[in-house]
Amino acid sequence: MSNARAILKGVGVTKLFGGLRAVEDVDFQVEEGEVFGLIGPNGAGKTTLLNLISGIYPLSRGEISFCDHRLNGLKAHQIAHLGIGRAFQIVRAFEGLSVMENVLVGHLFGSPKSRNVRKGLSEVEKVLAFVKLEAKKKFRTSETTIGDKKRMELARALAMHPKLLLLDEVMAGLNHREIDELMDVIRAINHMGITIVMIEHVMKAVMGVCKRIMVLHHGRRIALGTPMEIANNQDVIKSYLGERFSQLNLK
Amino acid sequence: MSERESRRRRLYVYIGLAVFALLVVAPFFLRGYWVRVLTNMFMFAILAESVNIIAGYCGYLALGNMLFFGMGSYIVAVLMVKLGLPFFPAFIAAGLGSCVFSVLVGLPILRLKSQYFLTGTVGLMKLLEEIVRNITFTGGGQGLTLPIFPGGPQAANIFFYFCMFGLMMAVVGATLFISKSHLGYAFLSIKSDEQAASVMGINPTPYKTIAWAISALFTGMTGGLYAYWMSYIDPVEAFQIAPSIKMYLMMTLGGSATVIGPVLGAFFVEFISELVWGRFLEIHFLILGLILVLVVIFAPKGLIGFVGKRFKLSDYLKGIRQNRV
Repeated sequence: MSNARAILKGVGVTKLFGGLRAVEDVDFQVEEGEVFGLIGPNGAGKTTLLNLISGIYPLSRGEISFCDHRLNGLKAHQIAHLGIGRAFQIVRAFEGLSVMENVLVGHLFGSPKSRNVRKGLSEVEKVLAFVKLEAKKKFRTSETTIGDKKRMELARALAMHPKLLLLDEVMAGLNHREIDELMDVIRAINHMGITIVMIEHVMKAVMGVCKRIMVLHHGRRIALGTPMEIANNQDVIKSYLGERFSQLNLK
Repeated sequence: MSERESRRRRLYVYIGLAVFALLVVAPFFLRGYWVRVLTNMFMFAILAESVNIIAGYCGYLALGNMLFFGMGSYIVAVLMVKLGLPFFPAFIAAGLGSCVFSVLVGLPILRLKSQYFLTGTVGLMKLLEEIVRNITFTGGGQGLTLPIFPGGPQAANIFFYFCMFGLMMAVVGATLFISKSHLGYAFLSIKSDEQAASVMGINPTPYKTIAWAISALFTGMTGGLYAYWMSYIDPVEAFQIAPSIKMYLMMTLGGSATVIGPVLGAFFVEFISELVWGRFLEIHFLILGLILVLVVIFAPKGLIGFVGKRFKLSDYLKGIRQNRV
């Protein structure tokens, strides 16, 4: 683990919205090839941190670097071209495009050299098959279920050929069977060599998939470690997981 | 399924070719009046399609798009009257001038969103109108009189008919190309969610600028052609807000973000307008408004939504349910 290369690195990452400290002095390192979990109560600054990484908000202080590129000051599309794909928490499908076309957008623009629509479509078929969505490829996104939309988000990010995938609560709103299926998909993506940073409230998924987990609370990092360490961390139990979880888990 | 689809596609191609052939021979058989009506329809089809590229595909509601129309018509007028250039170079200059101008103003103004962009374009149009009105080089408030097309009214009818027709085919071709290429996907993504689009690797600025530049190119050329056709142009005629609104009516009616929808919409509105206008001058806008309301309620995707579908009442009731306030 110590000889793995850090693919994403944050030093003193801070985001202020006026007087509100959404993210404050957070340091982290994501190693190449790992699944890195990001948990914490609502409003802890998890999504803000992802927004800082993908360039939606500019940093107030600190520095984020990805594969030796400083991300500070880069626009969202430049960061996407470096190889960071993103699935949103609240599904942001492109209305008016079919499921397949949505994924195609990820493929066409994710890397600067794939602007051919016809070639792209056959590539997209493979990605859709991978997330088991090929049966609904012609559907309008408004006609699909929430589970399908989440898969579509994932497929769209995956079609960008990212080195790093940012997943924002892809499990939310899914039933148990769907969660299990999606966990397998995420593991398979990771096996392909793609590093993953995932925000998740579904503890089963976080504990089952992540190699390391960072816990945010009120914008600050309160813990960072393996799932076992996190599950037994008193601060985390107090602020987020609750007593019952640690008892269940320690059994 | 796919066989039926391809058969249907072939049918559309045949219909398209038949209409094309009909329109090519039509001016040799119709009376001058109807040739001019058709030319007018083509003109609005070009304008509606141009708006469709920036507003329908890219989601930027350029209500003041007629500013390029005015600009194109003034470029042609000034070049022909003041510099004595022949029509075709002036016509090309009208397109290119509008295109370049759209890029120059687009870079700052396309940063505005939704209604702010809309207002900005209208402001820009009024600004140009005032400039044109107040400098003598453009003839001031009196306007400019262009040279009349040589060869008599019959030849003029045919000439402008085919110029408009050719330009319409060009803009439809351009839209078809856009819809099939990565440009179309970029435009639609920007329209739907600009921020998500940029996270997917789309740099919105160049794409928005390209969309508006294409729109301006065709609108400007149309304006130039119109000025020569009417052989007179003044600031009020060149920079009108009413045709801008009509273009949106046509686009929405026919089906925005589709290739052929705005053309259908333009033909439909102009045809109805022509029929109604002669008989009920006072209420003809009322009737057009009523048609628009009905279409928006029953077929929010526009007239093109009817094509290739069997009539099912439940579909239209669904339209009402989804679109009621």
